[in-house]
Amino acid sequence: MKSLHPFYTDNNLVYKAELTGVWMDHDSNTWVISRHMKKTGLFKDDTPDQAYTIIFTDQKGSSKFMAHLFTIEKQLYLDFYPDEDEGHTDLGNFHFIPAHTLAQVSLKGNSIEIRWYNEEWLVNLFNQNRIRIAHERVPYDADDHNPDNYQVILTAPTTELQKFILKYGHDPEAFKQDKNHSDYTFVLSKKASH
Amino acid sequence: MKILVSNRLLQHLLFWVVAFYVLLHIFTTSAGEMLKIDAWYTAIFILALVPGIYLNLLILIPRFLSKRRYLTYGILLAIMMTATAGFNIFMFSVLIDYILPGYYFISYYNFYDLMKFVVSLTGITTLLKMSKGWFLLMDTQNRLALIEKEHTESKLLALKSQLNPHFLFNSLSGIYSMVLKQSPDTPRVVLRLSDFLRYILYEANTETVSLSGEMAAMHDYVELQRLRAGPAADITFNVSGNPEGRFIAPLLLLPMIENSFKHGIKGAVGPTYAYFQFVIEENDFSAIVTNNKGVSDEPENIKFQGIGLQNLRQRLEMLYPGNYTLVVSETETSFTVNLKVPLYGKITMSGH
Repeated sequence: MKSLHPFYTDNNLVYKAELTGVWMDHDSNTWVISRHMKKTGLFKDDTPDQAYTIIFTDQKGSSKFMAHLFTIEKQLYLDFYPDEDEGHTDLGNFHFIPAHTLAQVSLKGNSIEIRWYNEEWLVNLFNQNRIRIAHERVPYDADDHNPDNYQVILTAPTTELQKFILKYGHDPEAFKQDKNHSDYTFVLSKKASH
Repeated sequence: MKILVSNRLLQHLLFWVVAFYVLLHIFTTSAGEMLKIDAWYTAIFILALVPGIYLNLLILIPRFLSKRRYLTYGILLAIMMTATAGFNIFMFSVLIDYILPGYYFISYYNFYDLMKFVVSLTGITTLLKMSKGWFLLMDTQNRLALIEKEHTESKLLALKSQLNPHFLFNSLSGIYSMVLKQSPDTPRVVLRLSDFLRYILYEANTETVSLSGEMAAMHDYVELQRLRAGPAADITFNVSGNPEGRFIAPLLLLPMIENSFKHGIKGAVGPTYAYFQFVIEENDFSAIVTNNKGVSDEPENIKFQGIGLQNLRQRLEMLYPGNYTLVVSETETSFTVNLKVPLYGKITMSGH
């Protein structure tokens, strides 16, 4: 589920050093998580930020994200945001609208469980007119004009997004725990500290 | 349009339909598309505001604002608006999951934003109620002016009846004949004329008169007319029910009774009759006057008969707006006027 606005606010950001390191998921993809450094100026040193830089590498290549860890009612969440400097030309970046995605996170010693928001469930709720949150429906593919194939992009402000997470984050369908490590759940094992 | 003006329920329904339409446009979450879920949200959003709005309209305004207790009204209004905004938040945070299970809503507006909605709707509904009150005041003032006019007209009518030379001449002629015949009924008839003139002169000049007094005066009038009609005319005067303690507009029945003698008994060539039936019920008074149709050689008489009833209808409309029945029916040989008006206790017409 993509959102134009972040799912976190400065008030509920947290930083946990144990999240940093080199991790490997069940498909042997690597996750390099490090503390994000805030650029403060040309002649000044970058300062540590309340955020993480995540470099995800699979067989097709690498993607870089800025991630924010935050809590709502003691539950940890990660807000993923793509680093627009990576993988695009200047003209490509000009057409690129980055979006936030949301995952629930559990830290268990040397492993992390990342459960992505169940987009299929949410789209069904939208299709059945059973959820009310500001959104837009746009085609995945410019040539595909079948509304059933449209993707949903949340346009609600962060306050509304957080109210939804607070009220419905515990819904078992929202963040599906999948033992078979499907697309929705990633279990990362630590390979090295960063 | 007339139904809308008079039907309060319809006015309120129309207001909320308009409010629903406007709010639905504000609450649409997807650009260019009005979703069913937005309609649900709008309906429940309005429902959460309705108790507060009606508390203001039905209790706070009549009990405090109308009685110029501005400070108390202001404090209670502020409490009401705060509670309404709070209830809206509670509705979409908690209650909605019980009202519409399986649907996903949150309280989208914070307290201050909700207060803007509550203040706007309360302001609009208060102004509408006050403007409606102003229109009612204007209507009441107009009605009072009409009643005043009618009162003056009824005084004039009384004066006209008092000065009706034909009636007086005929009554005195009848009494003269009785005196010549040395009829023992003469004193009684003189007393009737005296009572009737006293009623017209001194008692029928008020907004309401006692029904017993009115019935007695009408009975006197009928009996005096009976003298003129002669023994061949079949005239009955029946009253059922108790007139004591009941009040009615003065001389309301006189035009009906006068007509039956003027256009019925007087113009008849064959058997002639006039039946006066009065029924006093708990809340209503009915008068049924039936007479034979007269064969009038004066077309003007028929015209004036119509005018008399038309005047009566105008008076009734002023005195009992929309709350009376006056039915005129006729056959080839008879003419019937049926009147029904509400009865009042000892109050003035303008005060009911």
